[in-house]
Amino acid sequence: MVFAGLDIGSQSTCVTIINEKEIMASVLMPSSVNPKKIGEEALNLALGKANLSRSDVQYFIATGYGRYQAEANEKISEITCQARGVQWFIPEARMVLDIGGQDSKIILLGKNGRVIDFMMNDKCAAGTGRFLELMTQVLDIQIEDYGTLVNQSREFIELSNTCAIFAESELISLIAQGKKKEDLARAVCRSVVKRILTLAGKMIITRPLVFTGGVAKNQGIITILKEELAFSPLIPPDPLITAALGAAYLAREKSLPEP
Amino acid sequence: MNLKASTALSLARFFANRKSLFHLLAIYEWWLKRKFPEPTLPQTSYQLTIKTIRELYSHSRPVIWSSLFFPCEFIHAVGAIPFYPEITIGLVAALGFSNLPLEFAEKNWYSQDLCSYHRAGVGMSLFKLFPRPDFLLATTSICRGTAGFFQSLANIWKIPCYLIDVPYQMTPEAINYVQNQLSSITTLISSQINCQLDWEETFSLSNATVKIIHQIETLRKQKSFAIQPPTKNLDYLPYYFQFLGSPASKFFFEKFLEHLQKLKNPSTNSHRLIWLHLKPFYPNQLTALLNEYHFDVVYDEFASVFWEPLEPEKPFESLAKKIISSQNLTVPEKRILRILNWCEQFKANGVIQFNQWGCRQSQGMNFLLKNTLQQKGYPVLLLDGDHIDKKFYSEEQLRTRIEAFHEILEG
Repeated sequence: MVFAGLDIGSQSTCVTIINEKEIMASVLMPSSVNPKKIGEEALNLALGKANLSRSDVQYFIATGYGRYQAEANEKISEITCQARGVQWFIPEARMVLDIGGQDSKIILLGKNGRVIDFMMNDKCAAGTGRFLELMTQVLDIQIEDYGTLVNQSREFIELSNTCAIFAESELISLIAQGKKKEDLARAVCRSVVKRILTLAGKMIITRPLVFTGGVAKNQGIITILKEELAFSPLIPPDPLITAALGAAYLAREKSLPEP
Repeated sequence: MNLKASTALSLARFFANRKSLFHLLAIYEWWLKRKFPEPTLPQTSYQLTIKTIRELYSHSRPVIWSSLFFPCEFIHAVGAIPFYPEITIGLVAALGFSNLPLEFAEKNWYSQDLCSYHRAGVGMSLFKLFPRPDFLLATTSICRGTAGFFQSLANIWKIPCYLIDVPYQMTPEAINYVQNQLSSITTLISSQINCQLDWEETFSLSNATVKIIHQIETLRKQKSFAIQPPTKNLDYLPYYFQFLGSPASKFFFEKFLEHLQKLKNPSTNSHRLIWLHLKPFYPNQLTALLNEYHFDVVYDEFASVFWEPLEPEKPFESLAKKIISSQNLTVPEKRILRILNWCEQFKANGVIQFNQWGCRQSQGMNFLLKNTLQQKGYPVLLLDGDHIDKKFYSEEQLRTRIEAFHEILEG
C-alpha cells in the first residue's frame, strides 16, 4: 500500500510517498503562484519516480499554507505534520525548531510525536528564510556562502534591527562604514538565530531538539545555533521534506488498522 | 481621505449634530414594536440599540461616558444615560468602519502602539461622531491606558474627567478610599444636574439581572448546551456592562434565557473552550473557523460576574467593592485561579485568549497563565492580533493556529 503527503510551502513544494516500511520517493520543487497546479505537478513527478500511478495511492494528505488548494483526502496543519515527519527520522525528538521560507515554528513534542504545544512567528519576515535571502542581495553573496563566511568572521557585529526592511538599511550603512562581508554575514545569521531562540524561550528548550526547514541546510545558521544553544541540534537527513513526510506518515496511520 | 469617505463623514457629522432628528427614531421604534409584538432575541437587541441611539443622540437626559469597569449602576441611579466608548468601538468595528477613526487618531499623534479601542475612541471623538458627553467617569482598574484615554477625551470634549484610583486588594481601607471618591463624584455631578439618586430600583434591577445571568451559566455548564455561534456572547457585552441596572438589561437576559431554554441540544461541537479577553469585532472568519473545528465557547471571561450582590442601603460601599473586585481580572494569581475554576465548572477542554495588540492586562501574565493551566491539563492557545484594527488580521495565520490547536485537543 502507498501513502502520499504534500507540503505546499511559501518557498517550496514537496511530495513524499511512503509504503508500510520506507520512503519510496520524494520530490521538491519551488512553489508558484498556483499552489494547486504545483502540488499536482510534484505529486505526478513523485509517482513517476516511484513507478506508481495516482490510483496506487491509498490515502493522500496535504499540508502547508497551500493545503486547501490541493485535492487531497485530508488537510492537516503543518504543525502536526512537521512533528510526525520528525518522529519518522528521530523518534526520541522532544522539540522541533523549524525555520521555513515564510515563518518559523517551535513545536514541543510528547510521546509518539504528539504535539503538546507550539509557537509560531509569521507576523514578520525577520527570523525566516526570506530574511536570509533578502540579506544575500545586500551582501552580494549566495545563500550557500553563509557557512564559509560565518567561519571567517573575526569582528562581532550586532544588528540592532531584526525587522527585515530596517535590517537591510542598517546593513547598507555598515557596508558604507567598511565592515567586512564575513562579519556582516555572521551578524545576519545571529539575528535569525536570536529571533527563533526568543520564540523557543517562551517554552522550555527541551532536548533532543531537531532543526528542520530549508534554513536547516544553512551552515552559517547551524554554526551560530550550536554556539547559542551550547549543544548541537539534530538535523534529519533531509530537513526539507519532514512536513510532507509527516503528512504521508499520518496518511498511513489513518489507513492502516491500529496494531 | 477619499471623496466618498469624506462625504459620508460630513453627512454623519451633520446628522450627529442635530439632536431633534433623532427624536424621529421614536416613530420607527413604535413601528418596530407593532410589527414584532413577540420579538426574537436579535430583534429585541436591535430595538434596544435603536432606543439607545435615540436617547444618546437626542440628549434627552445627561450623557455620562465611562470606562468599562466603572459600574453603570451608578449612572442609571443618577438618572443619566451611560455610554461606554470601549464597547461602542466594537460596534463601529463590526460595521466595518473602524479604519477611519483609527487613521484619524494616528494623524493626531496617537501612536499605533496604543490600544486600538482607545485609538478608535479618540478618532470617533475627534470626528465628533459619538454623542456629546456631559461627564467623563473612569477607573484605573484593569487597564492603565484607560486613564490616558479618558484624559484625552476630556481634552477633546473640553469637559473634566473624574478618575477613580483603584487599589489592587480588597481591604477595609481600600473600600473606604474608593467609596469616598464615589461620594465626591456624586456631589460634583449632583451640583450640575438635577438628579434624584435611586439606588433601590437600580440595584434591585442589577441583582435580578445577575440572577438570570447565573441561570444562563448553569445552562452553559451542561454539555449538550452551547451559545451559537461561538463567541456570540461577547456581542452582548453592552447588556453585561452599559445597561446593567436598567430594565433593558433585565429584559434582554430574560429573552436570552428563554431563547436558550427553547433550543434543544444545539451543540454538536466536541471541544469546550473558556474564552479569555475579547475577540476581533471587525468582519472576520474566527467564528466560522471555531465551528469548522468543532469548538464551543462555554464561558467568556469578560461576561463573568465578578462582584457580590449590591446593597441599596450601602450604595457607595457596594459600588466600591464592585470596582475593586474588577481587579480580579488583572492580579495574576486571582485571575488564573478564577480561570481554573471555570475550566472545572464548565468542563472545558482548553482555553483560548485572543491577545489584543498593546494590552498589558492580558499579555503581561501570558507565561504564568499558560504554564499554570497546562500543568493542570488545560491546553492554552494564545492568538496574537487586534480586536479593532484589521491591519493585524490574517485569516490563514488564524486558521493554522486554530487547526493545530484542534489537532492537539484531538490527541
